[in-house]
Amino acid sequence: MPRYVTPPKITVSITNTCNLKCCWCYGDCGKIDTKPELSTEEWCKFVDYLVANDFIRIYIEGGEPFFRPDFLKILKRCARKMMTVVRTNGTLITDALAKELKTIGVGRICVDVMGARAETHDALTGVEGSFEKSCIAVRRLAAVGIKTDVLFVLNRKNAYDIQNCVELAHSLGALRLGILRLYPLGRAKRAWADLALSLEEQTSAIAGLRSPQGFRIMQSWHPNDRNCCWQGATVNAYGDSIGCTYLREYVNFGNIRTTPFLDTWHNNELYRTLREGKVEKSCASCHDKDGTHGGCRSTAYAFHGRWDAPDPFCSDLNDGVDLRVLPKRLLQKNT
Amino acid sequence: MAICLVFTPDNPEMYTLNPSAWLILQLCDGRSEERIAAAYHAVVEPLLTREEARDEVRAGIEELVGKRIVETVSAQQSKRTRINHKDHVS
Repeated sequence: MPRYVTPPKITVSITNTCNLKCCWCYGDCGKIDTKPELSTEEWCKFVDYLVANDFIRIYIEGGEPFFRPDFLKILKRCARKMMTVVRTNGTLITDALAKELKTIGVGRICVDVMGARAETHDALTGVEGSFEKSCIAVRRLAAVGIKTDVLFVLNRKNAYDIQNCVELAHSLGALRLGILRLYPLGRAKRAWADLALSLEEQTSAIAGLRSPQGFRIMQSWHPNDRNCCWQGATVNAYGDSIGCTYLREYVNFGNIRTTPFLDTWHNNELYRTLREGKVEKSCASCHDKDGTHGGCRSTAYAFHGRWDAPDPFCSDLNDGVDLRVLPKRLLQKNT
Repeated sequence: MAICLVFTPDNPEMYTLNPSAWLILQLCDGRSEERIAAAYHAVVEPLLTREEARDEVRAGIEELVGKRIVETVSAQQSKRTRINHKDHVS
C-alpha cells in the first residue's frame, strides 16, 4: 500500500515562463508560454483547496515564479497557512522585494547559482549579468532573515567549480547548498552530449567536498539516492497532477481543472503504483533514507523504460549504464 | 502510523513531532502544567513513573514553547500558568 493516506506537502510549478534562457531548462521555458497556464483565480482556489485538505507545506518553482506578474498575490495566500518555499533564479529580487517576502512570511528561498564565476553561470543561463544578480539575491534574502539555500545543477560545464560554489554560497549567507542531478528533460535532454557527466565523474566531483562549519551540503547520489515517489505531489503550470517535476514528460494523473487533486492521488492507478515503491532491486544503503526503494523513478524510467527498474544514478545499481548516453526513445517525439 | 507536522507561521518553520511531543501538544489546551503531566502520566503509565512523566512533560513543553508551537498564558482567575497550543497542527 502507498505510505501516505493523503500527502501533507506539494510542489507547484507555477509558471513555465522565465526571464532566463538556461541551456538545461527542463521546462523549455521562455518569456511567453503559448499554452494557457492556470489563472490567478485558479491558483488561489487551489491554494484554498490545499489548506482545506491539510496540506502544510508548498514548494513553488517555475519557470521563474517572480516572472509571473500575479505571483505575489498567490504567494500571500500561501505563506501564512503553509510552510512556503520558493525556488528562483534570483535575478528579479530587489531590496524592496526581499523585505516584502520577509513580511509575507516566506519560509525559505532556494536560489539557482550554476557556478562560482560569472562566465560559467552566465554561459549556462544564456543571460549576461545573471550571475551577479543571483548572487546579490542570496545576499539580500539572507540579510533580511529569510532562510536561503543555493541550488547547483551539476553538469560538465560547472563540475570543475563546485568547491568554489560551496564557498561562494556560504559567503553570500546561504545556509545550505543543494547539488542537484542533471535530468534528461526539456533542453537538457537535447544538450545531453554537452552537459552530461559519467556517473564516475559525478561522484568524483562531489566526493571530498569540504563544507564550512555549520554549512550543509545536500546531494542525492549514493547513499542518498531516494525514491521520493511515495510522497510525490506536484501540479504543473497547466494544472496537471504529475507526482514530481522530474516526471513531467512521462505522466499525467489528471488535471485539477476537472479532477480534484486528491482524486488523482487516490484513484490514478499509475500514481498509486509509483507510490508503492515496488522495484526490481534496491540499494541497501540508499534504502535507509526514508525507507525508499530503488532510487529515483524518473531516471530509472528514462534510462531503462520501466517504472520498477533500478536507478542508474546509484553506484550500487548502475549496472554499467553510461549516463552520458541517452536511450534513443527519449529523443523521439511523445516519449 | 500517523505523524504530526506543525507549521509556525510567525517564524516560518515546519516541525515533525514524535509521539510524546504530539501527545503533550494535544494536552496543551489551556490546562496547567501539573494537569498536563497528570493526563500524560495516565496515558503512559506504567511505562513511566509519575515523576518521569512530569520531567518528560516539562522538557516537552519547554521545547514546544521554544519553537513557538505553544505559548504560556495566565489564567484569568488563577495565578497558575496555563499552556495553550497554536493552530496549524496537521
